[in-house]
Amino acid sequence: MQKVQNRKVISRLSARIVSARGKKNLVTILAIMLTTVLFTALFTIGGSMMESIQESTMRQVGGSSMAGVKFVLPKDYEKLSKDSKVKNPSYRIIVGTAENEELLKLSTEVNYAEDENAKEMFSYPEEGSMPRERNEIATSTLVLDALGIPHTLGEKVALKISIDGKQITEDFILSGFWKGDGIAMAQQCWVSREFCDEVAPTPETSFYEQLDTKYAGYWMMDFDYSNSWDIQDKTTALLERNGYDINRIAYGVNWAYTTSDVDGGAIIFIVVLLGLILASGYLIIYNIFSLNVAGDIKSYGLLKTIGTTEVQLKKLVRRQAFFLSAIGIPIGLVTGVLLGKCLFPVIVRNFELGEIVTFSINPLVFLGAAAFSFLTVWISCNKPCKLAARVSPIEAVRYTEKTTYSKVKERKVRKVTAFSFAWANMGRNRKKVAIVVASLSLSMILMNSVYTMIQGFDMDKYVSNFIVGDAIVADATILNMGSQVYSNNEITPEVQEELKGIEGIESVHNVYFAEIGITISENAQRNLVQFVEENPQYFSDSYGENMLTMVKERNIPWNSVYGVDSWGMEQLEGYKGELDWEKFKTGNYCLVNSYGAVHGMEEPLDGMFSDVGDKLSIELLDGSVKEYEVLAIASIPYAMSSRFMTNLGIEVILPEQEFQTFVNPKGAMLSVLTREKDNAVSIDKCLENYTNQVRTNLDAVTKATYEEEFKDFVNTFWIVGGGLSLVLALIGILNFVNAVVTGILARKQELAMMEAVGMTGKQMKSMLAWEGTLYAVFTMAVSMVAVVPVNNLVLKLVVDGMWYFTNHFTIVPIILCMPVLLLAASIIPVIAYQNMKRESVVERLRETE
Amino acid sequence: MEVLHTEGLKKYYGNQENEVKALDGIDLSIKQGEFVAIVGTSGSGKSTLLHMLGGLDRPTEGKVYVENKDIFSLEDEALTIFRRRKIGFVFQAFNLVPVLNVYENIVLPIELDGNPVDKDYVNQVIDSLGLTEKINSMPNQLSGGQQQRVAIARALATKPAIVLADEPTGNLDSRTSQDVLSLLKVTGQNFNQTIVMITHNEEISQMADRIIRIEDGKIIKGGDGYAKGTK
Repeated sequence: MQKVQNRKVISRLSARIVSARGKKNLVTILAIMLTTVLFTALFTIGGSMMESIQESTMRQVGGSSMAGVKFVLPKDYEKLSKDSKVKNPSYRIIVGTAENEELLKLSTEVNYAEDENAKEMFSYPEEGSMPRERNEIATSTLVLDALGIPHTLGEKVALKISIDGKQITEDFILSGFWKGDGIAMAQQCWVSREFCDEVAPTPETSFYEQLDTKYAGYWMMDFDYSNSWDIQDKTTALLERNGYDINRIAYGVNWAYTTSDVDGGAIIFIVVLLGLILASGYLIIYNIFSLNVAGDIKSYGLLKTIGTTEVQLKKLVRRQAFFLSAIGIPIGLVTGVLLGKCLFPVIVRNFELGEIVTFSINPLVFLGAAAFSFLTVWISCNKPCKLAARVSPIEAVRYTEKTTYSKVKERKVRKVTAFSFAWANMGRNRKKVAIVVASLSLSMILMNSVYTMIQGFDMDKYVSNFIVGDAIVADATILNMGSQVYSNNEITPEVQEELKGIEGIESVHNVYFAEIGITISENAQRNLVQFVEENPQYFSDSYGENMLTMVKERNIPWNSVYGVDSWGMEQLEGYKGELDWEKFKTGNYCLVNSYGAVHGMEEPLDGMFSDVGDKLSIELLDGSVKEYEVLAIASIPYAMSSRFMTNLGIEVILPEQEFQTFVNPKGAMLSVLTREKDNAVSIDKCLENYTNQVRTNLDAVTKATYEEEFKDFVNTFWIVGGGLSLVLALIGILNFVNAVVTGILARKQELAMMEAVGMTGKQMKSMLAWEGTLYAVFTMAVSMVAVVPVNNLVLKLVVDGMWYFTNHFTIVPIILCMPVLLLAASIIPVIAYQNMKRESVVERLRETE
Repeated sequence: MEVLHTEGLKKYYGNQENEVKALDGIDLSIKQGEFVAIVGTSGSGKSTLLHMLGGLDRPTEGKVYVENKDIFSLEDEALTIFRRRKIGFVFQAFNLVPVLNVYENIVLPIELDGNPVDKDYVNQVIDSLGLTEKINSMPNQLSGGQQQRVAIARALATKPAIVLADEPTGNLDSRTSQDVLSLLKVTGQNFNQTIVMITHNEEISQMADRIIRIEDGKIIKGGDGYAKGTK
């Protein structure tokens, strides 16, 4: 087939049409740009966030390799390394764990590693080198700090190493170190191969066939694949292919790469945002292009008359869109990235990603944003393309603006007023009106939703979840959620005195805590059995069986037992029975929680495992057992709790005195502090000094910290939501201006004729102002109606899980916007008309010919 | 009685080197009830003249008097109001407002003026133009001839001092042209209306009481005649 060389003509024609439109192109470029800005900002922030999450997950996991096989022998390593799918294999050899007392809170492994493996585990010396000599060692600064060793090469490092239960002591020389990462699960001490081979020689039997569990000398293998897609299945396939039973070999995939962890809420949020941007972009670009095509329809008719085919006409329009995209998209990309860069730190502050977050610009972000913008342009100019292609050459000459009023053949006579005129004019191009109204409404609805959300965030509710009183002081392991070890009695009487002495502190209330066994009544046993059986989701597998056995024996080990004072009792959440301190403090009573008060359960469950008046016994300090009567059903607020859950989530609360005497006299778990109301001294500063300099094992959280955190969070919503509403509003107004201006230009002759037959400028302006006002009124009506389902459906999805959100339906923002919108809507058409009036009536009338 | 006359009407376009004299000293006089045709080739200045007479455009020099009122002494806004009271326009392209029905189009100038519609008179006009059946129709439902009849009715509705018709049959076929023109003439006579029409069609112009011939912005024939006899 012969290739027709007509491309040049089409592209020249498009270029000419575009340049003939001159300044009017700015509106289109601006629209494309704004759409691109939104996409780019969304992608940049989203992409950076995902990368930061991935990075912080990797740091937590302690490795960047995609997968690993555990406890293998050198021959397994050789075999798997040769598999064609395996990339970058590396290994380390297990020696043991460091057991120095100073390292109790810092899980520290002692291993030998290849350089590659150390790098992959983010544990490669930044200063010095990996150990070469037998007595050399390389480790992280965190380990050095814990051991009190200065960050200097050649320092002596004395380690107590436990090798499969056997302890040895060895003096090493520091050959290298790197900055330790607190988020990692374990710290590494790299020893030399020589030392490794000496104390942990390669075992002869496979790890999986040995009789007892010994780890020393086995190899840990890490490797990558060509890409991170479906690494779970890739790994099982790899192992099976090489003759391993996947049930009899330990392997792992790096969950930093498995995207299934992204929570549903975030996905919905992103999809909603993408849809919103696409919709608003479509509404404006479509409107502009269809109005442009309508304006140029005579030229298209002419082109068709002289033999331009439909396909060519389509190309002609599409190419114009591409020209303008070529300008608008790059500008939008740059602006979007800059915007993203400004907004990113603000947004990230509210996601706990650790201290290091990186703003990175991935080329994929550009590609994605450009692709989405281009897609929007493509979809938007589809219909206008068809409109141009289907033009009938004869009708095109008479065509002014696509009107849908032709359905009306007759109409009763009405009095012609500026308003009725305007009303009739709105009916001419209903589609255009609908699109402009939709575009404006979109921003109104979004703004209203953002306001509803922010207004619904309840600071007291938020803060009271984390804190009671004005500050809480506890051992760092209690307040630090990631901590594995707990110190439950660090608030000794001595510390309590010190706390009372801090300036600005009014009172100190202690909460005591212990995990101890209890014996429950038969009534409680029945309730618990029923509860376990009815809620299998909380008691899966062997765990559930264990629970059931314990319940049946009525003897439940490890329960949360708290001690509170009278003030603490007032903070409890009571469900049944009277919280009577006088009675409580006699020491014959206890309080227990209800099922629904168990932290971590999604919905409160009806019923209580133990009723008021039941008896239960607690194992005391000296091994004896004391019986208490249940005074009331109440639970401890999260802020005062130990922050972790025990077996069945049973909480027993005793009076302070009783707890100290019979359960644990050493000290309290945490102290709730209240400040003197009229003392201006910042207790934050004092507490910070106290926990940083006097009692370094303690940590403090204050009400102000959480209020600050909350305000940050709300600000983020303001900035992101407000910014998005603003850009959408800009798009809406641009759309409105464009529609009004083209509407007036298209009716140039008609308006001139009306002027000729005696319509004064004042009457004309009044009519046009009414047209604009009607747009505004329609927008208001649509927004107010649409806001109801949006509030009920979409908003609910977005705030799902935000327990500190209370939905108060409101349309105040829309009402507040009303005067502004009405004013703009009535002024813009008048300005457009004023502009057009620069041409004389005669000139405007003549254009018909 | 004289309803309209001009004095030394000039309209120049462009700068000095490239000056176009669209009208170059027009003096004419038209009296009550006359049906005048202004003819000339395209570019002769006849349209410009009509626009001047209707106060749509301001002259470079000279004056236009309608019922002895110097219309260009009026401000734009006042001129527009004067126009809707005293002058009826009929355009070549009909120029009906598409969103208004026939009746609303006809009474538009009256309503713009805020005056009550003289229903008897308007109905008479509608009747004599044969539009009674169509008063509720929308313009796009009408034929070209019908549309132009609506435009004529609109021009007559305000009982203007003068009706100005700019190539009223330019968009119509010859049969319809004859019909519309006959109607224009008859209605003009019935209501004793002064009509000034421009056309380049000799045959059409023959229906007028008087023909003014214009060439290069100057009247070459018929400017001051008062009757057919001067031809």
